[in-house]
Amino acid sequence: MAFLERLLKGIDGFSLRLVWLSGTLLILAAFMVTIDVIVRKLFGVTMAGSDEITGYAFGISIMLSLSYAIIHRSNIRIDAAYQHMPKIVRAILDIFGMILLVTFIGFVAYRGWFLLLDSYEYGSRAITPLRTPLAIPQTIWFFGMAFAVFTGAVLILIGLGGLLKGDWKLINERMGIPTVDEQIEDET
Amino acid sequence: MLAHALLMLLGLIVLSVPIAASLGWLGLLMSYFHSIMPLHLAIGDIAWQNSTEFLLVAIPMFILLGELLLRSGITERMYNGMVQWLGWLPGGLMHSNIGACALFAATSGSSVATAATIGTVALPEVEKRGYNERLFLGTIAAGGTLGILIPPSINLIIYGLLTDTSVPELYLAGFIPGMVLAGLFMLTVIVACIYRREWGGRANHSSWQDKIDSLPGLLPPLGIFAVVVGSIYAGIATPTEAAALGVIAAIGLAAWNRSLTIPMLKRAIEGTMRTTAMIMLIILAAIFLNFILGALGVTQALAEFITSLGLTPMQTMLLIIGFYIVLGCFMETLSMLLTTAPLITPIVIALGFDPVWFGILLMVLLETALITPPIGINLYVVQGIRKSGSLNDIMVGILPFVFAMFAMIGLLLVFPNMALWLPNLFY
Repeated sequence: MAFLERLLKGIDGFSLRLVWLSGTLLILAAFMVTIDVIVRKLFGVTMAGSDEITGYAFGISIMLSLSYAIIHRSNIRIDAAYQHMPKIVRAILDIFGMILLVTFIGFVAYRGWFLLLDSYEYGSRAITPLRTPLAIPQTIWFFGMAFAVFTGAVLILIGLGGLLKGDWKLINERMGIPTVDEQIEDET
Repeated sequence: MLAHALLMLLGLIVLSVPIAASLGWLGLLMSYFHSIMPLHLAIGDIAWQNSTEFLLVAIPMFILLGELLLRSGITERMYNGMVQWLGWLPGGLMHSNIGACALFAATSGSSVATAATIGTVALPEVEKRGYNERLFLGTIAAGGTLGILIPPSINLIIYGLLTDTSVPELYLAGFIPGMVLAGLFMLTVIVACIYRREWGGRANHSSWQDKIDSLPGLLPPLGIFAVVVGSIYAGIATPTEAAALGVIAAIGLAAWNRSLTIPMLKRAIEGTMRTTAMIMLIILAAIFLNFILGALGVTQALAEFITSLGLTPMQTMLLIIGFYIVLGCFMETLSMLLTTAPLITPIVIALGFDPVWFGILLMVLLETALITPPIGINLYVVQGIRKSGSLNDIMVGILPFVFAMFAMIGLLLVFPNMALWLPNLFY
């Protein structure tokens, strides 16, 4: 257990760096798009591909941030029934929800892997003036999902360990639905 | 098949499975049980195409814009400015709450952030100036919902994407109803305070000098709103480009205020990316589910079922509105939008209603969902900042504003042009 918790700490730190990277990509994209709009308005010239590159930056940033979103319990869950349940049922629902979430992301990643393999094998390029080799953005995109699955798997193991020990508090802290106070703390 | 899908979705949601996983797994299960074709294999392509879709980039940009404004201290000055300009009305600061919420909503994507931010600044004033606490809390919870309707709204972008409706047209359409709804909220406060003078607390009388002095607090958010919405309306920029312009403007503004620091940027980025990753995962799952349901013919089956009821278009519309109001009591808004819009909108269009108009109506319904108990997140947010007292106070205080929203829905039904006039003027 101590090992898993240490691992989770490491993942958390790494995912935070991925989030900073993602945000920086988006801010750079915002600069690029702004310059594009201004140049287009003033000189009537369009920079080819600023929208395409922005799209890749976006796709990459979503997937690189997934792990952080999972660790920080940002997934929307409906707690209409959940909040009336005893602690043990909540803990089981928490782990069950996490398993379904991770397997779903895992399935997207699994199909994304085939997409990436195809792009790599056939040297697929975007049908745009940039002719971007799709394998490059898709590799980072896939890595984000794979890392999110890894993160979720570690959380599930921690959750199962907590279930064996009857440590409901731990499960709630790691993957329960945040209280409104925690949500406000996070959003402001 | 339709019943099967609904039952599974309901089951997953009641078990509090994350919405993204609920929608995604529903798609996988429906494909597994009801299709001979391996439809689910398309998810890789669907995820890649939509996660790099330029239109959707507007979502993280608007969230980032709101985060930047929030963390550069612009919001507090804006609230103080609103106090100077609106504080003289019967009901005093309660109008500032609504006005500040509307203005902050116009630049930020999150209704939680709006209600929480304005609430934090406004709540200490309740005792200081002797307001009726319940009504005061109601103005914050209700005002916080305006962000869904007033452009640039993230929900309108999602609706536009799911239903193939033009986002600039939706933005034009949302403008007047957004102003009218804010007006209705203020009217509610005025009527309440004329009826019971003691509810209104002490009004804030300010000189013209005070009003002018407060302008530096009000102009920045107004300026950013003008950059974002103006560039769309003027045809210079697409919604995504406008959002990028807004982000750069907000960074410039923060730098001007000397609040642009690395720690501040980091926190803004953390908030933005967490929300973005979560919203986008749900959107990707919803698009996948819609693909499966469309391929299986569930969408059509639902449309045929509704037609077979033999109701007039207006009766059907009232039925749909009733359905949303009930659903809104139990479901969170984004999930509600994503699961229902692709199914309901085709029916509405087939009945002869305008998709742009319906988009606006739907936003008002989603706003209602934000403040109807038991699952109205804004109620809990306001309660959360308040820390004491019972949730009941807020539920009572919000009631007049729920009726104002019903009035808004009625207005939209009777005068569809309230939403359609502006877009028709431009397109």
